[in-house]
Amino acid sequence: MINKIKIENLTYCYREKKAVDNISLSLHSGKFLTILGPSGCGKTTILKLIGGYLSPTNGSIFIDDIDITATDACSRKIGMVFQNYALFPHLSARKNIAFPLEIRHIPKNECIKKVDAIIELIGLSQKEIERIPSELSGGQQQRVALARALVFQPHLLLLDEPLANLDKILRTKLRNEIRRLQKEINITTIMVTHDHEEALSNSDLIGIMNQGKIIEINDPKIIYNNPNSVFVANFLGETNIIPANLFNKSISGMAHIRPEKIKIENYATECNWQKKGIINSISFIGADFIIDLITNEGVKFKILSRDPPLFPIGSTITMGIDLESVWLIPEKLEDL
Amino acid sequence: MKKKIPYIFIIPALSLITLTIITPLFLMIRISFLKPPKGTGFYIPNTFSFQNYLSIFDEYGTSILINTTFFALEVSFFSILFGFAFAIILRELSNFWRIVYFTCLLLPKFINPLIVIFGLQRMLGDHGIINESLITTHLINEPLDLIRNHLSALIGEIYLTIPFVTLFLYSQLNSIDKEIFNAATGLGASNYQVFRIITLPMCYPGIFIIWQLSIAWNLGSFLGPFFLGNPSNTTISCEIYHQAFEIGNWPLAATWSVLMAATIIAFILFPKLTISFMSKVNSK
Repeated sequence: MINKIKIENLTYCYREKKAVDNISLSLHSGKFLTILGPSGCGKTTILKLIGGYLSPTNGSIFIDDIDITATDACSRKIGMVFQNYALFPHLSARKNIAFPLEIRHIPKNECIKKVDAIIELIGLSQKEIERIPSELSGGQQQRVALARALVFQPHLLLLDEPLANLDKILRTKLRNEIRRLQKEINITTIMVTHDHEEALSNSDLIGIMNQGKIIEINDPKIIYNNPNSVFVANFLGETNIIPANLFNKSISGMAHIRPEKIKIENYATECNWQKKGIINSISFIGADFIIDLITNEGVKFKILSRDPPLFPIGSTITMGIDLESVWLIPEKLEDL
Repeated sequence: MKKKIPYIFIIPALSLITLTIITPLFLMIRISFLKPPKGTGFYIPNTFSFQNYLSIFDEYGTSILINTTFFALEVSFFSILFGFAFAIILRELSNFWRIVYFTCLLLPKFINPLIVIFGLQRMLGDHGIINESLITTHLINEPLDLIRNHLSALIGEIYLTIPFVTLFLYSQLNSIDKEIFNAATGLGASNYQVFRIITLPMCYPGIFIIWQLSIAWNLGSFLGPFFLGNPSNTTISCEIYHQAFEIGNWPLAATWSVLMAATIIAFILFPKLTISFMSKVNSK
């Protein structure tokens, strides 16, 4: 099963505003792409264009090098999980899952076999799927929606903020399950989310979107540590954007370093770059402490530390950075 | 004390309803047990008999009952058929055309229904627009009998019922999340399959309720059968008019009225009972 997807110059205008602006990307078969962006950046619109629910103003979409831009949504064979699940409220979960099979006139016993196979894979019990959606919990509804999108062996799986309506603990659990499932059936998947943790933990590729454009598309580790712009750096969690000349007088521009890469006090001595700073604030966030430090140049650093500093707010401590982990953002100053 | 205060506020409304609806209803029930007049007058006062109730179920009375019931069933069936189609079209239209459509749909409702019926009478008559245009194009030589028959009575009543049905079913359709249709299409369903498996079954509760309501409305249908129909399809309302204002037999007219009011109240209460029953079943 080779199901790679390629998008070329995709543009979608809504009321003369470009909701999706000239996007090109390609995804190899079995890979998991997460599109991450603030709300209203057009990420859901991309999914709807790929799914065929909207037709693009410009550009084309290819699955396995076949142009499907003009194909109807009903003949694209793409499974989509909607943000609010869009389950059919009047049908039992079993009938919901069997829907894509029934409309394809697949014989009944084969239907039952396929549904049973998928619910076992997805972790729903026989008892649960006899209920109608309103009798199921959010997590169960989400599983039903996922099962329904996968049961007809689609070329591609689209997930539109699948975990947004769930509580935090369930979100982490389901996010891992989605990834396990995706690897198990080896289906090419595109997920849309605004939660960077979800994106970082699940994806083979992350695309960061803003105002209809994909700003960077890359491997999660690279995009996290070596982002190509300040926007990308900020979007993937707490970070430090520091003038680069603090580290080396001859370099201009902005440097980027994640808070957890900065060491303090005893640990700082092992680092190849050290500086003193005054503690501005300390906040406890569970496993770690966030320490705000101000150097005597007036530069603020955010530091994530396992241990609290030994000295109180207002005292001067040493911080240390391995210069290898400092990343120079390849961006002009005027773009900031 | 706290509980009593809300009752004070419903006194004005309640007294108005008592004065305008409940009192006449009871008066009517009393009249229905009076003996019919002999010679002059509308009834014989201070009498009591079941004669009127028995005469409802004689041959003539039964035929009116059957006629009215079938008429109401026919009107509600066609109103729902067309109303549902209109509601589906309405949902697909752009905002501008939806307003135009709504105006066309509701305008007859803002005008006195009598005028609407007279308009239909003019349109369907021997010299109406339909017959005239057919004759001038030489498709027919003699005007078609389009008026004073069962069909024209039906058209009139359907015309008066459709706006309500359409609005009701439109709101029903609109309450369905559009994403559900998207999901069904994306999973591979054709438009027909979406309609058959998703849209229609999801509208069943609404269709059921509007069906009962439109039967309740049309059990009392008067304008269509009276102005556009012929005597062979008299309904209860026409008979009430006939007895009360043409013959002057008030007790019989009152008996028919009591029967009609009782049936309509039963039909209006029926959907409410069904809803409460269905919600009880669903909550289990």
